[in-house]
Amino acid sequence: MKLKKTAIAAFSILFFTAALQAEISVIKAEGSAAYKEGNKWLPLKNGQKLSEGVKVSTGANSYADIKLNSQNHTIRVKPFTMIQVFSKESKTDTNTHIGLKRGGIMAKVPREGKVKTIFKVSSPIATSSVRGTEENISYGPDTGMIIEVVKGVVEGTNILGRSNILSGRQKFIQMYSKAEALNILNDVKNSSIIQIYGNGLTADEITTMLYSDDQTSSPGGDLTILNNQVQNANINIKIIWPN
Amino acid sequence: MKTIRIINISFIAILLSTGIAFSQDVTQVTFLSELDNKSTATYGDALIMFKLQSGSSVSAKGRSSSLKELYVLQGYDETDTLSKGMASLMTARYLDLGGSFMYMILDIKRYAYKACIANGIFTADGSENDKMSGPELIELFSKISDFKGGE
Repeated sequence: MKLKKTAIAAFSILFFTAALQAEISVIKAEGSAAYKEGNKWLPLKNGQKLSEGVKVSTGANSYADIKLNSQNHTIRVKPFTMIQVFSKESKTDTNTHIGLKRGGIMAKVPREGKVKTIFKVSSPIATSSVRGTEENISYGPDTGMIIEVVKGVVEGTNILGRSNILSGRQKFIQMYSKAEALNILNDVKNSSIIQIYGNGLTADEITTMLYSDDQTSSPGGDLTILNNQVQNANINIKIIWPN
Repeated sequence: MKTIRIINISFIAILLSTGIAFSQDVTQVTFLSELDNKSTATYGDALIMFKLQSGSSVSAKGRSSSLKELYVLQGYDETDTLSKGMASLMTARYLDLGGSFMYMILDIKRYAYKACIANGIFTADGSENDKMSGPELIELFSKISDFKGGE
């Protein structure tokens, strides 16, 4: 009798565990894309099934498209990337966790109305949680973790628990040795605004003058060329706030 | 006769496709995995990475065959420690970077590093004399790959 109960319990555990495991499969692998089995790296093949916790790595000019579950949640593993994939699912929810050791991925997480979706990408310094549909994530020791929203809404959280909700053209940039991520509009600002100094010159132009004996403003140089160069100008600015 | 020919062609096609699938360069991934654990990268590591990025294999080691390549620096040995300045100069030449007027005039490490910062390849909080680790070198190539519009 006791043996029968144990057998039923064991069978139930086995059944439910099997139900939780999502099917991870390779849609397409191009170039040097490999997965780790034991201590060996083996080439990825199109259509190949991968086990839970698998490590995937790509080389130069290479990528791998991986399907993570039956909800068509996919990632593209970009060149020079190493990740580890964990994915579970049931009829009511999906739970995907990707460990990003280095490089970058692009995640597409389409939402099925009734299915509760948890999709997280973690690096040693921060975590991204997809609340919408598409995002680009990269991580490296120099620039830290960068989360860029392509479509929808994403939450970026650093290891101290400080988080930002991102949408539109906002970026979450968490660098090493910084307690907080950079301003989420930093990138927009950097590509739109140029810092200028006296006489409307950029830092690069000033450096040039310091090292060259031209007629603009090197010490002792002729400054008359800058006369009447500074004038008033009207600028129309249209500000579009991200959704 | 026709059936036999079709079977033969199908067999060869299957063999070829299997061969292509298995012939992926896994040594490249193994090399990257080893480089990832190095606390200090060398000039030789950078040369191999540039070769990989250019489509060569890991086994194509050494710079003797690539002296014509723009990214090769004169006066360095493959065992020399790689600095951000060296990597910047190699990168700026390889990508033909703009963004720094001074680099366009003087092809030296200092201004190549500034050109790399201007193009978002390095962050500004460092110096061209900083030593590079293996993971930093791999990250540099992730950015080069993005810069070149890779997948």
